[in-house]
Amino acid sequence: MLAVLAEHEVDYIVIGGFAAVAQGSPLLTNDVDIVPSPEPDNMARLSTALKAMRAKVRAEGVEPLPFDHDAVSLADARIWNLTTRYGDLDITLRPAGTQGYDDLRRDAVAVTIRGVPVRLASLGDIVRSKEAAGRDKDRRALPVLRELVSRQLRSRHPR
Amino acid sequence: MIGGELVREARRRAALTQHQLAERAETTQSAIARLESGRTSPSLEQVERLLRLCGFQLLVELAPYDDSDIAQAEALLREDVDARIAEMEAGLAFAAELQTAVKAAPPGRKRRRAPL
Repeated sequence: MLAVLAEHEVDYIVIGGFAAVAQGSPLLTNDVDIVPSPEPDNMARLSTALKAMRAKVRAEGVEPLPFDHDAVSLADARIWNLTTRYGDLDITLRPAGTQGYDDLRRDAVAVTIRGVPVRLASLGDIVRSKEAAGRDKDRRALPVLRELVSRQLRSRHPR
Repeated sequence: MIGGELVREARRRAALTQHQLAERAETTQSAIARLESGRTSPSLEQVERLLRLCGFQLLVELAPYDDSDIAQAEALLREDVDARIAEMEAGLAFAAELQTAVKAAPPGRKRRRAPL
């Protein structure tokens, strides 16, 4: 999935549980949450990448639904819950508690995952977003994420 | 921050506006707004009172500190990013195997209760 996004030069930041796992969280997640840059050209590249991944809309208890999309329609929805041939993918332009791509990019962490360069939302931003989302699963993740943030801060600014 | 969130949640559940809650609490709407947004930090007593005015009570309990997640995180922090993702994938695969096994298992016999 990340390789396909890279192939199509999609500009995005990974947030949520997957980004947290990449930074040390032990909590499992089976989807990837991304925040794309809202630039129209980027949204068009994202639409092409989604077609290459055969993305469909996923919903509880029903078969995934094929859907038509382009740069404009993708930017219209608050969140897209999709399933692709590479796994589940959630796309949101403005995750809870954040101002979206530009806001997250400031503190994003650049890593390479299986040879693919990827930008991850910082742990602090993941905590901010989960605090704002406030769902049970977000609340459950917060203690360990907060602890990871405080360890990061201690390692950056040792006494 | 948490206190403010609780007050906002309680107020919304009670279908009250900030102004209505402020009237009940004999304060101003802007004071409620500041508290809910985290710009001021209320004391525990203030939070309890505001929740009560919304028709709720605050239950607080102590639980033993559980550091099992952070112990796992410490182990993962010693790995690189690819290894962390691989561990997660292995965990998900194992969970899926378990779910399949549970679904495939024949229904268990009822255990007889031991006599008292």
